[in-house]
Amino acid sequence: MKKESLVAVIFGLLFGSLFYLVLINTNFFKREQKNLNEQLINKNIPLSLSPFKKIEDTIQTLTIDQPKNHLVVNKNSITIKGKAPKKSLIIIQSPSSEKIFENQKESFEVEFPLSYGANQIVVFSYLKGIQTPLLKKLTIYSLENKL
Amino acid sequence: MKKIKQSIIVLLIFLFSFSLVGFKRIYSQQITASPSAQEEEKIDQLKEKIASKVAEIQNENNFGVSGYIDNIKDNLISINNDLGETYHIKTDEVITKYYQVINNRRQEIEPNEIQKGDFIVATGIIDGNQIEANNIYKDENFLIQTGQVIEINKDEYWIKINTLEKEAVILDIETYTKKFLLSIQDYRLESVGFSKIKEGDSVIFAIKKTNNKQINRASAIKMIIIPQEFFLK
Repeated sequence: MKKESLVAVIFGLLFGSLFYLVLINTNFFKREQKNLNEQLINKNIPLSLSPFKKIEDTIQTLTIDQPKNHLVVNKNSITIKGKAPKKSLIIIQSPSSEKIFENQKESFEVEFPLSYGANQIVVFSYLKGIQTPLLKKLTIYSLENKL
Repeated sequence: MKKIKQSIIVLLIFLFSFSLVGFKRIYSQQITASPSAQEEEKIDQLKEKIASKVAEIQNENNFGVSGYIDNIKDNLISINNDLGETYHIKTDEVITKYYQVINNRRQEIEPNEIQKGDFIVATGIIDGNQIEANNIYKDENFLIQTGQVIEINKDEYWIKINTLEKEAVILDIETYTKKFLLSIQDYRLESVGFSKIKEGDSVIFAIKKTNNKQINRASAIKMIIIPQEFFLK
C-alpha cells in the first residue's frame, strides 16, 4: 500500500472515532432510539422484540379516574378506579378504613367504605425498592340521609 | 235483457269499487291504531331512561366544598380549605339546614352553633368559589401523611417522622392510637404495640386537623408501619 493511502486510512479512522465520541455525548442516539421505538409502536411490534428496548415501558405514575374530588354521594362506599405501576403496592387510607393490595395490572378498581360526612382519602402506590410513594388525595362527602 | 245485464254489471263494478275503498279505510285505521299503543309504550320507556340518566348525571355531578370558617357575616360564611382556597357560602334563613356529624350520623343544629374556626361541609349550587348552601354540616377534618421514622422516644411514647414534604412531625402515640404492622409476605395488617416501630420504617398516619396551620406535633389516630425490609426486596 502506498504511504499516502495508509495516511489517508489512518486519518479517516481518527476522524471517524472523534465524530463517534461527539455523537455519544449528545442526545443523538437517544433521539434515534426514541424515533425507532415510536415507529415500532406504530407498527404494533412489541417493544420487547425491538433491538432497542425502552427502559420505561410501563407507567410510573398514579392517576385516579374515579371518583372526582369533592364528590357528594348518598351511600356508604365508593368505587375507586385508577392506574398505577404494575406490581406496585397500593395502600388506600382514610381515618376510618384502609385497603391494601398488590396492583396486578396497570389499572385497579376497588370498593372503599366511607364514613358519614367528609372522608379524607389518600391513595399510595409503593414501587419495589423505593421508599417514596406516589400519592393522590381525595375528599369524598358521604351525606346519606341519616337523622 | 241486454240492458238489464249491462245494468247489473255496472252495479257490480260500483259495489266492488266501494268495497275496495271501504276496505282500504278500515285497513289504514288498523295500521294507525296499533302503532300508537306501541309508541306510547316506547315513549314511557324512553321517559324512564331519561329520568334515570338525569338522576345518574346529577349524582355524578353533585359536589360539595369544605373548609375552616374564617368569617361569618349576616348570611355569608367564608371558609378556607387546606389548599388555601377561599369559598363564600350564601345561606338562607328558610332553605339552609344546619347539621353536626356525630357518631357516623347527622344531628340537626341551630345556625348559631357554627362558629369561626369550625370545619364545615357545604352542599348546594356551586358557581366558581360561591355556593348557595342547601345544607351545612359541621364535621371533623383529618390529615393523612406518610414519612420515615427518624427518632423514637420510648419513655414519652412519641416518634419523629420526616414527611414527604421534608417536614419533621412528632407523633404522640396514645392508648387509643391504632397501630398496624404490614406483613411483607402477604400484605396483611397485624395490630402491634409501640415496641414494633423501628427507625427507618415508613409510616402512614392519620391525625385530627383542627385548623389550617402547619402541624409539628399531634396525636396519631391510626398508623400503618411499613417495615424497611419491604424496600430491600
